[in-house]
Amino acid sequence: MDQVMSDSRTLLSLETERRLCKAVAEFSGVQLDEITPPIIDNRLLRFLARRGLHDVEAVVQTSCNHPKTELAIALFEAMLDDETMFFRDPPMFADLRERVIPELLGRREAERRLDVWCAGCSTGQEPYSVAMIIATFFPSVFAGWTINILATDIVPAKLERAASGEFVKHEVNATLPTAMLVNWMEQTPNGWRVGADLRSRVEFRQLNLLDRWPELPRFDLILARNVAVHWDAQHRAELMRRLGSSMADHGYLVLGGAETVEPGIPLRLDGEGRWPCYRRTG
Amino acid sequence: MPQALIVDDCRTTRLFVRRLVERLGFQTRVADSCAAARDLVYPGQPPGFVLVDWELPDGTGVELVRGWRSDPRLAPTGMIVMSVRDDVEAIRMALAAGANEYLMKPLSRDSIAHKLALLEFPWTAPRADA
Repeated sequence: MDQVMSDSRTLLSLETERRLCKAVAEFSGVQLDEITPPIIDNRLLRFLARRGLHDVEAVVQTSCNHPKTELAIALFEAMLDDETMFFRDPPMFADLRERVIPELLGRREAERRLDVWCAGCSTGQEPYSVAMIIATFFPSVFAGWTINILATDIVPAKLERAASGEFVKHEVNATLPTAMLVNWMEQTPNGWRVGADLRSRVEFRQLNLLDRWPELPRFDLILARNVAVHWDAQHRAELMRRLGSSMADHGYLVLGGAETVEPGIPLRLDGEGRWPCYRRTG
Repeated sequence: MPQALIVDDCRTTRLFVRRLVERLGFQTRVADSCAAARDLVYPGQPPGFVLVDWELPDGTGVELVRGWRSDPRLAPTGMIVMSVRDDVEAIRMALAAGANEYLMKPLSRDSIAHKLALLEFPWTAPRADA
């Protein structure tokens, strides 16, 4: 037993750690062994503390034995990286404003409609940031067009929080431009809340990207930033293929700063702007 | 190397902010009052950006910003007001005086880096388009 324990990298025994990695990959696509052990331990301990549990080995083994139970799903969700922030990567948002959105508005001028999808939206900062860019720099479009911003995530609790539009001070302090804060959010006793008009433009829906997708429009803009960064190559490639199929011919796909698309996927890199993005080929 | 001016009457804050900003690649100058800040901002090249605390012994950071914003020489200088005040009225006052950004205290390493990254782009619509 000591021998097995000393080979493992986390709080768990080696065997249990392997089972957890397998279960999380099946649940969400995320390869936990790409994440550093202290981070995994941190997430495990926080989960136990939240649930008032104390035997990490037993909790994980039980969850892996019964992966469809509420406990197991909650555990697997807790192992996912949910970091998000307003205006993450400011140059990307500047590019949206200067180049991408003006081009898309030109394309959709006849229908006066824009379809955006933020995949892996966690607590909502990214879709609200997109809405703020449109509302600030294209006010007549925001007022007069149909702007559909779909925001999906695998974790229902995050979506609930996102839909509430409520954020605490540290979430709005550093990354949200102050002008955006005062123009689009209201101060509340507990922090800040996205104004009702902006909130109404974002539809939050649960979606596991590994699952079958519901019928979706062909999007003008898809943001799937850092969603599949810890997925294995095969599942990532499949996701990129599916995202490509969900784009309008003129559409843009934006990934995280360190992400690329494997060769063989019908998407080409567009390096014209401040931030790389992907377009459909053929 | 781009210059930053840090204005805060608390020595520990000045040191903390100075160290962070220098690690991000900027040369820094520090001031502990409005008078000292005015002396430092004018000679030579205007600073790339200033980080000013609200409460200063001889005035407020907002007054400093208001004065500097009326000077065309400082038009390219990014101005960030820092304060423990976290109410929307204070924030609006700072923006109205001409600050680009507002940072609520306590400050963290990341919060300063994030705010500096925002200075590069405009986040309000030019008046003609509104």
